Amino acid sequence: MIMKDARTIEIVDTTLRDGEQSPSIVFSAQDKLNIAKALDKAGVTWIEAGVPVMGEEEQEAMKMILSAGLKANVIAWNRALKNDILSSVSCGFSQLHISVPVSDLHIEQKLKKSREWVLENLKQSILLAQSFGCMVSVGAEDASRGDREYFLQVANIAAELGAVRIRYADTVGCLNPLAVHSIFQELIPRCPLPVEVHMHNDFGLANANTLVALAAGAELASTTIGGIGERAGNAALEEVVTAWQVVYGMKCHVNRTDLPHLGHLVMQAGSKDVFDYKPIIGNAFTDAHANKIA
Amino acid sequence: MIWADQTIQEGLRRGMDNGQINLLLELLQKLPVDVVDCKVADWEKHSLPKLDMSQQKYIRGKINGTLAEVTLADKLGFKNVIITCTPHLGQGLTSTVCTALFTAQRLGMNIGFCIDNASQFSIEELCFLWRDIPIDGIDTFIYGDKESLLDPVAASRILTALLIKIPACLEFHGHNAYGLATGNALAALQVGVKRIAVAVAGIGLQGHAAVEEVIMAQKRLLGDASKETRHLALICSQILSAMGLILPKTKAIIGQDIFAHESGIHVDGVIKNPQMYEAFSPEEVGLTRQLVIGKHSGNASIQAKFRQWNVSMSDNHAQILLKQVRRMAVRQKKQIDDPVLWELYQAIQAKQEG
Repeated sequence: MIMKDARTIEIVDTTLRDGEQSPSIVFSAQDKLNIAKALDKAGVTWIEAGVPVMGEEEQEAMKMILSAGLKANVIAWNRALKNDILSSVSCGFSQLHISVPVSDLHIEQKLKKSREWVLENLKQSILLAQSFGCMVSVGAEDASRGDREYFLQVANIAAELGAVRIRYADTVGCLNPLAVHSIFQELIPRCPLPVEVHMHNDFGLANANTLVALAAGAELASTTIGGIGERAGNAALEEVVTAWQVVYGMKCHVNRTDLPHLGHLVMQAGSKDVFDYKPIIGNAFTDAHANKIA
Repeated sequence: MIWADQTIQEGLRRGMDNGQINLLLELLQKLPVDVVDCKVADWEKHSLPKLDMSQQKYIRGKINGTLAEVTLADKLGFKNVIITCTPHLGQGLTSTVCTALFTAQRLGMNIGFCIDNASQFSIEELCFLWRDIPIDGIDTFIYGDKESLLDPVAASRILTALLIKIPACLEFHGHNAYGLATGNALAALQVGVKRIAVAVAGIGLQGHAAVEEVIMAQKRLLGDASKETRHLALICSQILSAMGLILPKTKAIIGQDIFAHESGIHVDGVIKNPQMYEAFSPEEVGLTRQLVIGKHSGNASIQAKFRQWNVSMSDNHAQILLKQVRRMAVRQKKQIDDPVLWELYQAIQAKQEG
């Protein structure tokens, strides 16, 4: 498996945003700050901290994280809406992620708009964010069920306006690894921006899909600690980092010795137990005794 | 397609007794698994009785490549066996393994041959090891990825080659140390491997592909809808509970909360069309959709929640309620239970009227 040039990927951790959207998890502002600090210490370079437009409680936590003096870049998640962006800016964010749906299902049935409307709306939103001096990354929601050419159109507009990367989201986790392999082999050379992959775990494939996309040229992985997140969750930070280093022999500057502590911190803050058989952080994998019984 | 279960083996490893194992076997038969693998040595260690006629058909005994274990398997009534070995790089099969193979054949056993550490070898080396087998009539060649070294792309490439080169039924036995087992198993299935090792919720030493994930992925992602799945969540949770394991509420496919929608965007989408944020419908696996009110709720989700109670709520009321809900959720660090939500609503109404 070890390839000639050990490529380095980066993590965009979304434990504090998509992770907190896990059913029954609510972090306090202090929890969020503690997790952000631990991610920073572990070497995670991008932290998606939350959604400021959600209200005062969220904004309080965001301000605490922004003023903690982290080395990591702290990002606010936004819909392509003026209010979302203004809330993030007034909270003090200078790095904004702006998400738009790119599948016709989402555009037509959720927004009840057209593809053209989405492009125009995205453009206005990026310009608004930039008018406050913000750096922008763009998210393509439901990209896996959308038209690939339209995804590229969104990426092109984002690139022309100076966005730094585009997120490809498998919003309902409906990709399989071999499909990811062929999609990304075709997509990556044609995409004008670095691609970040955001995979969901509805079929237990989030980690595999993330790694195959990275191997095919995606440069960043969106993850959560313990894989917490909407429904069955997201790709787990500890699995992506470990597999990328061990199985693929590649690089990612996240310190693996910090992973058990991160898992513990998040599970405690979210009042959850780790399943014994969860890779990397589950007891069956960490307890040396369990392995000896064999 | 044959699914080879590894759940029972984990039950044995965890020290379950005869009664508990029988209950597990009973529950397991409700799942679309076809054979059950057990280590013969563990079967003996926990004093389980000789296999009966029906068990002989679907239980395979794993033998650690020694004559002593072949003899033990015979004594315990195993007719189907897997002879496993872990060869060293650059060396052929040991004489111990060869003796075990000869003996198993002489005893008329149906033999699967497993290289536990197959992923450490090249395709050519595996073919060499295959030719080294001293007997004919090996039914199944089992490719073991003991160290979890494969990713789905490598698995598909290697297994495609072996399907052509090895003249026996090919079986894939992957592990989950790095969270890739389901992806690898699915890749094996996609390239035409007909036998795959799985376990409920992916349990086992170093983990396995989760049976519920592979079955639903086969159904929804590869379009093979031949399996009945409506009781998948229930049966899997019964099996885990019989083993004393707590099923995580967000476990893919079978967790209680995987259809609980809270965030404003998601609830809004799911109300318009569930497909927006669900990869398959809850009924397909025997679960139910829930609208949860909490920190991430939006106006639309509050209104939708109350519509379920036949209350049509104004935007203004929804906004007031949402503020209270978010504050309370953060303070209590949990979602808002239905009765509490109802009380908050009544208080708002009373205030407006008063």
